[in-house]
Amino acid sequence: MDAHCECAIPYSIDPTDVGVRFAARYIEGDEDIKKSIVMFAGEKLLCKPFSTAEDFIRKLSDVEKMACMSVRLALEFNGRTLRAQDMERTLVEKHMRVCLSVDPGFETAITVAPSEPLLAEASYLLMRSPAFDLPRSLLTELELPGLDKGDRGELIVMTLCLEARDAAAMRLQNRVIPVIDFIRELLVPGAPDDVLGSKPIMARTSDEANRTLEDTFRNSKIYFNHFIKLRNRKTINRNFLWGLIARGAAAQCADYQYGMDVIVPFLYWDSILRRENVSAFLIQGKNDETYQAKPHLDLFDRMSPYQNSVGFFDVDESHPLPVIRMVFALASKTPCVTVIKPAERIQPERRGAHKPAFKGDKYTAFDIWCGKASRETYRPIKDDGIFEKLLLRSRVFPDVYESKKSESIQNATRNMNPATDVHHAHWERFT
Amino acid sequence: MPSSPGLSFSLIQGPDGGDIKYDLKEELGKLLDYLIEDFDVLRDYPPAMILSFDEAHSLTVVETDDVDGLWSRFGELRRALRVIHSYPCFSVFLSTTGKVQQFTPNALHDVSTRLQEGLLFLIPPFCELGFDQLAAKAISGETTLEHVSSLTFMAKLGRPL
Repeated sequence: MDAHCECAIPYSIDPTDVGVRFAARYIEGDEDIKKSIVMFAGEKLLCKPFSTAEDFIRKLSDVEKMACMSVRLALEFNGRTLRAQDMERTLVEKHMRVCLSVDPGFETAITVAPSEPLLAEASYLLMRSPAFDLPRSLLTELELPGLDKGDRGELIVMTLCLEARDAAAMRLQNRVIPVIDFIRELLVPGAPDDVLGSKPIMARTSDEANRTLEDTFRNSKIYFNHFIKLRNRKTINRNFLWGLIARGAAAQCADYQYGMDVIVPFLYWDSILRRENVSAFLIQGKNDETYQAKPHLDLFDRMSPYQNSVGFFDVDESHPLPVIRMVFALASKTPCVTVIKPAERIQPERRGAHKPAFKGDKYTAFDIWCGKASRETYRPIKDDGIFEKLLLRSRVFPDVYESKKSESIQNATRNMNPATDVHHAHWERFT
Repeated sequence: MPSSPGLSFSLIQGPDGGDIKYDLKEELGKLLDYLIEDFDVLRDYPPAMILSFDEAHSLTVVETDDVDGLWSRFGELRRALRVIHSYPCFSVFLSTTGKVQQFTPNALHDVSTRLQEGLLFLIPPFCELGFDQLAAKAISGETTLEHVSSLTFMAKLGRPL
């Protein structure tokens, strides 16, 4: 039986039976209960009877959709508005969000969507339906203040990765998907051929230098069904990341993680979990018009897996595995998927000239630059307009000025935050 | 510990017309005789029976009675269960939306006089239980991707109970 058939059994849980939950229920339950455990998790997530019927999914409320998105995208609240506070508390009260701490006066609460793969799996059962439009649902929430959006579009990077993973999992009917299939579902048809046939920008050995991406990652497999938000940048190390894979989690990097926003770890050689078998997609998302179709190579340099700030490999790692580094230049005006290639010789080689011995790099890396959040770049994108709005909504500044009714009010607002932007209204009163 | 007040049990007429007296202690004794070989109430056992009350905050509403004054179903249940405190029987009150004070109020505010006087005490609530209590360990070098992605492994990760 394939993995997905396990939850295809008709729902047979008595909705009044709420005395037991996941692990105990699964261990002690009969075969029917075991097979419907994901449905049961879905019921707890939605706080009502669960169904995967399209009509049911279409009628989910905003809060219920938030519950589904939260457990897979580790959404956070900034708690600035009453609506956000209400939403956060409702999610804790009814939709499995976890409250870590409240102050005595209930003024503030620290809540998280922790790693619970079973809840994420239930959410996936809803999200895989065409009736659940993830980008549009995100936009609905982002249009209202309250959700912590992240300045560089990490949320969009995670959304694209999650949708690519879901598409591959659905196509292959398996939670474990080959890295190659993930790339095929992430990038626009046609682009993966260039990517898969590309050689590394840098290589540790001549053998690795001559192998294509497809050949290099032929045996590599990914398993994740949700993202979590890391709180310490030192977690980006293979000593921890193999444990993340065990939970079916990929990660949004900790705040102030220099040079990298999202990491999707995978197993390189085979299916056995161990530190030495972990490689990853290291991804940086840029929601900044400075970054267009022309790749900025320094951004890849900042994702060096040996760098202290990234720390993916131990400093003394003797057998580093090849990694895939990607930059999502989301605000680029031109769509593109560019594989960064090693510099070629301009002059032809002289006949009989001595060929220098291969000089190996410290590690092997494939670098890919993806421009514009568009359906011409990413396969999961069906509607460019939604993503354009998602990117806009990810920027507190200059939204806070541009959302004002008239230019004079915009300028007055800019003037209240002097010397912080290039617009003349930030400067003219004092320089 | 002071003894609990006597509990009065209603007499119910059985199908044969005779009176039936339900005595909690007596009935529980019979059950434990059945569950535990050579059961002896004076010996210590791990819990043989767990009574679970879900959404128990609905029991904590304090009501006023002309004769007995303030009372709650939770308080009465507690009193009734104390009759069997020497038996290997444990009660769990679960609540998702209740307030902690409802189950462990300040002793001075409890409906029980003996709690107010400090002759009895309540078990503090178990909260902040942590995650993954029943999780199977992923073992480096042994556990496979196929195993961790199965429902068998996945269902044991996350919140307890």
